[in-house]
Amino acid sequence: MTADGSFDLISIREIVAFVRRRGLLIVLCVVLGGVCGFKGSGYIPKKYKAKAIVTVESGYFHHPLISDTVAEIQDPSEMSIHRLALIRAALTDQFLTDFYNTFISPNDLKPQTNKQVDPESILRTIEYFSTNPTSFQISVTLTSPEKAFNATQRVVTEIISTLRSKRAEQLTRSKRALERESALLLGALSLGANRSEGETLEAQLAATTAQLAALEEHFAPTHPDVVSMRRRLQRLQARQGSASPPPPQGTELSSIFLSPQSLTTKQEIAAELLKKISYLDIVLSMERDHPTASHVEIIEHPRIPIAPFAPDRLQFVLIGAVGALVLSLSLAVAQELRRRSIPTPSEAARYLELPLIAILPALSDGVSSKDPALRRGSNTIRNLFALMGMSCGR
Amino acid sequence: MKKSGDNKLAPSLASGIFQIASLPESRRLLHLIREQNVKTLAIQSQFGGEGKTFLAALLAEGAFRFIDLRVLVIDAVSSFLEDTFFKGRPPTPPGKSGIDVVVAKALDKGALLPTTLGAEMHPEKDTDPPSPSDFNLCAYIRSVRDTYDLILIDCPPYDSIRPHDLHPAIIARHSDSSLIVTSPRSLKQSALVSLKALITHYNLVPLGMVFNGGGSS
Repeated sequence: MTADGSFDLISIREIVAFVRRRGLLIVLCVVLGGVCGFKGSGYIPKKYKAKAIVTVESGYFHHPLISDTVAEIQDPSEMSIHRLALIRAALTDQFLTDFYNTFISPNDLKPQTNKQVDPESILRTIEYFSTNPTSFQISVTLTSPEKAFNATQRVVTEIISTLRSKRAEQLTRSKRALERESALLLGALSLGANRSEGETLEAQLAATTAQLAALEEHFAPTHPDVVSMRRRLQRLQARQGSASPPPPQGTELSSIFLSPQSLTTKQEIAAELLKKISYLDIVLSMERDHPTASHVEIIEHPRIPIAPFAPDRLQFVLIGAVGALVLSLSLAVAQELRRRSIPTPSEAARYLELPLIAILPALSDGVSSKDPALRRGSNTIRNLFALMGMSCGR
Repeated sequence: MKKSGDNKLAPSLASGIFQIASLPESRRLLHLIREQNVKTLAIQSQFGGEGKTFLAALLAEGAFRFIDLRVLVIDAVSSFLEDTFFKGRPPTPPGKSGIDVVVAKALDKGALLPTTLGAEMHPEKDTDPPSPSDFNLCAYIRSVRDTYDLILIDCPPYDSIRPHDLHPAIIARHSDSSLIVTSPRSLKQSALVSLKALITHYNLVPLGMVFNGGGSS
């Protein structure tokens, strides 16, 4: 305490003295807190986590017929979100309900009302997040290691099969579209062929009619040449009589194909379409028969967890120790502040600007402690301070 | 005013007081008082129960036993000092060393204020004129000053001055010096600040401070 009634700042020496005074107590509190944390963790139910890592390659998003777009390079975050959305889409409410009925016990998740559980609550037992732009960790936390393992396997299988089926659906849709277009084109090609045949027939009819007229001028109607020519004409007329089908109603593309100007490229386009259909067939077949070709695969299969995931004993010990440290430090500092607010007799004398003549210690043996008058001063005075190591000069 | 003599302590306290008073440190304190040429010493404190009465008894016993002084102890706080420490002793014969105890009792409120200081200390008592039968401290000290070698005055505490008490500041004014007795209770910041304010306000010039570790806290 200073002469003006305020208190000095804390010095290094005071800090050392503080540590000496309270250090042991603080250490004991920290140890006790750690032990309590360790013991307390034993009362919390154990939870086991089984995890797997699934990769969804960039190729998953590539269409085999469109090779000029590499989405991953252009916007990796968008593709990452797309992957996450696909994984979430795999976990349908129906799947989650089945998952709950198969794997989850009341210890893991208590039913809310009428034995029904909100799918969102079930989803909390399943964890999925990206470990790198193309890989995702998928884990399930349950109270039994076997259940956690089986559940993780089931979730991963569901995700993989959903992703593959979605990919197959996309390719199949493309194939069907191509098949439709090719069917139209092939129809258009056959119509073009019919047209040229009709023209030839008409020309032949005209020529045959002209030849018949010339023959009838020179020969009798019964002349064998005339009869033969007439029969030929009749056959041609019979062929012409078999009416050709009306032109098909197609798409814009097929209408282009049907135009006479595009007639020269029709066969090339048809060949190209057929080639693409064939290519899609190959891709579909490959992805169906060889799972690795589908760009979705498990790179780390789930394993039966050996150690519980929670409670983390070390974490509990640390929390207990840190909590005890904070608490004991707070108490020690509070006590120290209180102690500092009470100056020593010599500090008080300095503040009062008086010499400290004597310090009378507390009452002890030798004098009756029952006597209040004596107790106040007496024993006290026995050591009457170094009674007067007194600073007598004022 | 009562007088007692025989220079014997009450049996229950005699040994304790004597032991303490016989310590070399106690004798040094007494020599300090002598060296400072203090003949009238007021023993004061801010709060009650801090050990003024005991210190007065101790100093009286030491002065009598070891320096062979004729000592007068004025109990201005009705602390039953006589009954507690010096019970049953006869008056000291004239010219001999010994301990006399006198109890200062006010017969009328405010009547002990011997000077105009009274108005300052007890402004509410201005309307009460001093009674001739009251104890007049100033006159009394003057009258016994030559009779005793050392006059110790056990003052009332500053925090609880009763209407019939002698004000400690007035006692200090009429003493050569004073001792401030403190205890753990006085060591609170607020108590120290108010004690310093008291010392400054009343212009006290104490001989020093005695800290009583066994006093009230």
